[in-house]
Amino acid sequence: MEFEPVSFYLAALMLLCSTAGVIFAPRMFLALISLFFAFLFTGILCFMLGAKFIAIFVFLLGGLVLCPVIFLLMKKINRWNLPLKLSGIFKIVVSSVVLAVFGGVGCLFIREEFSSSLFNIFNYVTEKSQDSLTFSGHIFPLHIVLILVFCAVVVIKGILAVSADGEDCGD
Amino acid sequence: MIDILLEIGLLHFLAASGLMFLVGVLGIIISRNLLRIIMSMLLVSMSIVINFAAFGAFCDKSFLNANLICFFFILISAVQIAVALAIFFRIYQSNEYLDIEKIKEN
Repeated sequence: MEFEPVSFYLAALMLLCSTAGVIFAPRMFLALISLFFAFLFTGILCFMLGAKFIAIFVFLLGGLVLCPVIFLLMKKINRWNLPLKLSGIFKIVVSSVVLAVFGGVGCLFIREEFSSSLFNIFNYVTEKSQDSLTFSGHIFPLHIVLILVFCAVVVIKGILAVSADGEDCGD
Repeated sequence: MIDILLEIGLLHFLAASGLMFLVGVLGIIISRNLLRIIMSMLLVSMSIVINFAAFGAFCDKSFLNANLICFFFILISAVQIAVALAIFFRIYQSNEYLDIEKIKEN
């Protein structure tokens, strides 16, 4: 399958920018506009992949139905121009670092166990899930990942609970 | 190195959807407004749709399986968001705010 690099990179960049816009928009309607563009560029990426019906469906359902519904809901409660505030900078930095670290750990795990191949993961899951008798034995390396995920959840939750004390709320 | 950048393959789409997924998760963690958390969940759902579409395009020659999974996944996401919006609207009616910290305090 051939793709034009410029169009792919442009669509991916716009998608990531609109995604960041949803997270960091200072007002509610700006976040909604960013969400609309996120749906639009998701549809464009799906269209580039040849999934035309999915692209149209995503854009229709997300961009033309969900976004107006959320906007009308906000309009109804007079909060469409609501100033949005993020958590404290400490929380943002810590969350980003923890996510990056665990993303890195996950990538390293895939590299070590599955030779950086997603197909190996699917083959592994397919083969081992059919082997019902010794499935628990084969699943052994995955317990490390599960423990790490639970640890991450506990750490993030704890940090957020501590840093939330004493902050005043935006809305 | 330049060849890898110029020959667009599965990995490029997975990287884009993975970054989108991470930004969505970050939004869920750092946002204080319930509606923005919902929007972040939608972003995570969309990244998964891109993932399925990419695997369908590169691994599944018939496109059918991936498209069907995407179709059902989008439908389920939409229903999930609709229910969440209804719950949040009810929370707003009783509390007059959508800030999770204030809701936790009460």
